Amino acid sequence: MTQPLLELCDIQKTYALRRGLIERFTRKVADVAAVDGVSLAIPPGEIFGLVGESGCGKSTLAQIMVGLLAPSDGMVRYRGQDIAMLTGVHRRIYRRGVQMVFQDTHSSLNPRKRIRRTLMEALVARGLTRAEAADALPPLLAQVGLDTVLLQRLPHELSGGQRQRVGIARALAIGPDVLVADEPVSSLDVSLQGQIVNLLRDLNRELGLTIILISHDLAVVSRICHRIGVMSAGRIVEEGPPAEVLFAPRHPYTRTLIAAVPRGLESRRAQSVAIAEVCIAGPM
Amino acid sequence: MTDDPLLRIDGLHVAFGERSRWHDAVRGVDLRIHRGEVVGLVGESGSGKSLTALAVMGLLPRGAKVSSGRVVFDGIDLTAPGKVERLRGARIGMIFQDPLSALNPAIPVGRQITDSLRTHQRLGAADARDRAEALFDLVGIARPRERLRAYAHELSGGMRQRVMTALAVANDPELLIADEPTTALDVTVQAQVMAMLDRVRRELGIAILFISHNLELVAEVCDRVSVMYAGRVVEEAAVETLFGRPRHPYTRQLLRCTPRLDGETGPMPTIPGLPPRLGAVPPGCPFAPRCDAAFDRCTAETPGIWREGPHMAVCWEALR
Amino acid sequence: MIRACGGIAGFLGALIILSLLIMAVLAPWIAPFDPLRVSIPDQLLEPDARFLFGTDQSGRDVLSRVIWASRSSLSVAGFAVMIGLCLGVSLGLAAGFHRGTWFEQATMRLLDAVAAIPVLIWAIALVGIFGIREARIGPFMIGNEVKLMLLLGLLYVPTLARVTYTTALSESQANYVAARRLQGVGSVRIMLSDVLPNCLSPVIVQATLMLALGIIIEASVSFVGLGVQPPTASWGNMLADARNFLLSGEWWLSVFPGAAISLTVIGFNLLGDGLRDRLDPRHNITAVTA
Repeated sequence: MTQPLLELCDIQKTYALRRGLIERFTRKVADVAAVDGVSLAIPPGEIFGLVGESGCGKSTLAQIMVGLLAPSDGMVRYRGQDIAMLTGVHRRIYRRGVQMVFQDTHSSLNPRKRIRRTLMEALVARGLTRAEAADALPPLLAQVGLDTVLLQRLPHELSGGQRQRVGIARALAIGPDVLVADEPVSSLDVSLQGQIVNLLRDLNRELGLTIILISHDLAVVSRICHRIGVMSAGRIVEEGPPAEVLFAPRHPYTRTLIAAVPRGLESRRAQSVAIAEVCIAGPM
Repeated sequence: MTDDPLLRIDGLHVAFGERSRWHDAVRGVDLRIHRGEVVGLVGESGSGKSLTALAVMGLLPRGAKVSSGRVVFDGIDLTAPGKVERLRGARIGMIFQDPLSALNPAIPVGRQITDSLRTHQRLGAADARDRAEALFDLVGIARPRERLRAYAHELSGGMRQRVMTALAVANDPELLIADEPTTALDVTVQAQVMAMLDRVRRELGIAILFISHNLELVAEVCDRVSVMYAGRVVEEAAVETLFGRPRHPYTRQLLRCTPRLDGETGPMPTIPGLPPRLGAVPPGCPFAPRCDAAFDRCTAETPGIWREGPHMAVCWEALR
Repeated sequence: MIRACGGIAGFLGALIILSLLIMAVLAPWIAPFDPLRVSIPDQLLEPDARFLFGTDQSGRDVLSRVIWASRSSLSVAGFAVMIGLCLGVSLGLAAGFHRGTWFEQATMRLLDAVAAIPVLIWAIALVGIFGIREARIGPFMIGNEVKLMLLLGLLYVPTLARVTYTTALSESQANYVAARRLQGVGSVRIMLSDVLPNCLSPVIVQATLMLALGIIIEASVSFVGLGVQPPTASWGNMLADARNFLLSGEWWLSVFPGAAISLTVIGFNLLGDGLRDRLDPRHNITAVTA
C-alpha cells in the first residue's frame, strides 16, 4: 500500500464549556468533545466522503486537517510527517499542499474585493510574480468553468454556484494536492449541486487531486466518493466503499441516516405511516 | 372538485425595485388550493416561490410589492388593504425555514401559544393551557407540560419547528403555509418534521401550501404540485402524474438531477447554465437556453399552454 | 453626487460642512474686520450694513469673530477625531482579530473603564486638573486648544475602538480570512488588507458624528472658561461673553455663535446619517439578489 497523503491519528478536540467567573475557580470545568478519537488515512488520488449531521464534529475535523485548528490530542500527518513538528520550508509545503473550500459562499469571499484581486492574491501567495499570476488567471478560470468576464465583478454580483467556483479556483491557485471541501454544495440548488460535484470529480480525475468531501447529504457523497466515513458524536462509526455503506450498513446510525433520505412517491406509498410513528417516538 | 377553492391566486405579479426601476420577480402565477388539499410549490432559489407565499400572507419584504393580480381566500380579496392582517394567525397559519426568528426569545414558548389562544378564541387560562398541551402532543413533543415552560433558544431546531407548527395551527386555521420548513434541518430531523406535518394534516384536515426546492420531499406529502421557473408556474399536475409523466423539460431535468440513494456513481446529472437574473429574463421561454428539448420556436415566442385534464404545462415541446 | 452622500439630507450635511471648512480656511480674506480689533466707540452696536452681525462689548465685529472662531472649533474637533481614529481603530482592530487572548481582554476592559464616564465630564475634569495656562507646542496651535485636542482625542478612543472591535470580531470569523491564513499570509497583512477595509464604514459614520460631539464639547468647555482662551475667538467663549447681555436685549451676541454651533452639529449629523445609509456595500443590493 502506498503511503497515505494525509493521516489522522486518534484526533481529539475538546472545548471548555464557558462558565461564570466564580465557577471557573470553584469547580472543575467540564469539557465537551467535538472530535473524539478519529483516525483516518487518505491515500493520494482518493475522494473520501465524510458524512454526518450538524454538530457531529465534521467541520471541526476539517479545520484540523487544514491546520486552522490544533487538535487537543492526536497527530495529523502530511506525507508521513507530523504537521505540528513542521518548520520553515516544510511547514510552507504543507500549508500550500492542503487547501479548503467553504460552505457559505457569501462569507468565503471578501465582499470588497473583485474576483480578479481575490484570485491574484492567491496566485501571488503561491510565489508567482504579478506578471506570472496574470498569465495564470485565464487557465485557472477555465479549469473551474468560469468566464473571464467575471473577473471584474464583486462577489455579491455572482450567483451562489459561481461564487463556489471562485472558491475552488482560489484553493487551486495555491497548487494543493489535498482539497478539503466542507459542505461545498449544501447552500446551492439541486440543479447546481451537480455542476459543483462534477467539477470536483473532474479535478480528481484530471489533476489527481485528493479530495475530502464533507457533506450531510449521503446521496451526493455516495455518487463520487471512493470511500465514505460516517461520523456521529465526534467519532467515525462506519467506513467503507459507498456500495457497502449504502446497501449493507453495519452501524444503526448509518441505517437511520439512510432511512431519513426523502424518497418521494416510493416512501409515500409504502411506509409513511410506519416511519411517522417511529420517528415521533425517536430521539430529537 | 366543484366547490370554490379555499385559496385562489390569479395572475399574481410581484415586483422588486426602487423608484422607476421595477422588475417582476413573480410574473403571473395562478394557483388554487382546495380545502384539505396539500399543494407543493417547487422551484430553485430565485424562482419566486417564496415571494408568492409572502405575497399571500402580506409579508413581502421592503422593496417588493404586488404589482398586479388577485389573491382570494374563501371569497375575501387579500390584496385589499387591511384584510390579510385579520386572517393571518387565525385562519391562515404559517411556518418558516427559520423558526428561531419567528418565536419570541423572551417569552416561554407555552405562553406564546396560550396568549394566541386567549386572544383569538377567548379561552380561559386553564383551558388555554390544556389546549396548548394537546397541541404539543399533536406535533409530537414529549413531556408537553415541561416543554411549555422552555424558551425558544433552549430547544433544538427540530423542536422549534414543532413549536412553530403548534403555534401555527393553534387557532384551527384552514390553510397552513409552510415555506421551506425543513431546509435548515438535518436529514433525520427533516424526516421527523415531515412525519409530524403529515400527522397534523391527517388529524386536522387542514390545507397546506408546501414550498420546497426538494422534489422528493414534496412528493412525500403533496397531492398536487406546481413547478415554478423564473417567476412563473411552468407545470402543474397531481403528484403521481408529475413524477410519472412530466411534460415540461424543466421538471424532467429537475427530477433527473435530484440526488438519490440508488448506488449509482459517476458524474451527477445537471441542468447546464444558470437561472435568468432578475430583470434579464430572455424572450420566449425563459428556460429555453438551458433546455435539452428546445427548438427554434422556444426562443422566439412565449410558450403556449398544454392541458390534459388537471395536468398543465407551459411549453412548446409539450404542444408538439 | 447626492447618492454618494446617502440622499438629499446627507448631501445637505456635506454642503454645510464644506462651506464651513471653506469659511475657516479663508477666514483672513473673508472676515470684514480683524476679530481682535477693539474699538470703544463701536460698543454693542446692533446689526447694520457695516456690522452685519453687530458688535460686542469691546466693539469687536461679531461676524468676523464667528468666522475666525470656526477655525478653533473645527480644528479642535477635527484633530481630536484624527487622534481618536489612529489609536482607536488600531486597538479595536487588533483586539477583534485576536479574539480570546489576554490582549483582547486587557484592551477592551481598560477602554470600557474609560468609557464608563461621559466624555464631557472627563474633558472638564482633566482641563480643570491640568490648568489653562499656555504651553507652546507648535507654530500654529497654542496652549489650551492643543491640550483640548489631545484630551478629546484620547477620550474618543474607547468608542471608536469598540465600533471597530465589534465589526473586526465578526469579520475575522469570516471564511475569507481563513482562506487567507491557508495561503500562508501573515496576521498583520490579513488585518490591514482584508479585515480593516470591511470594518471602516461604521467607523467613518461614528467619526462623523464625533466631529459634531467635538464641536459641542469644545463650545461647552470654552463656555465654562476652560477651553479656548480669550482673546482668541471660539463659539463657546463668545457665548460665555454673551451671558451678561442675555437679559439686556443684545440678542445678536448669543444668537450668531449659537446658530453657528447648531448649524455645524446638524451638518455633521446629517452627513453621518447619510453615510450610514450609503456605506454598506451589501446594503444597496438586497433588492437585486433577493
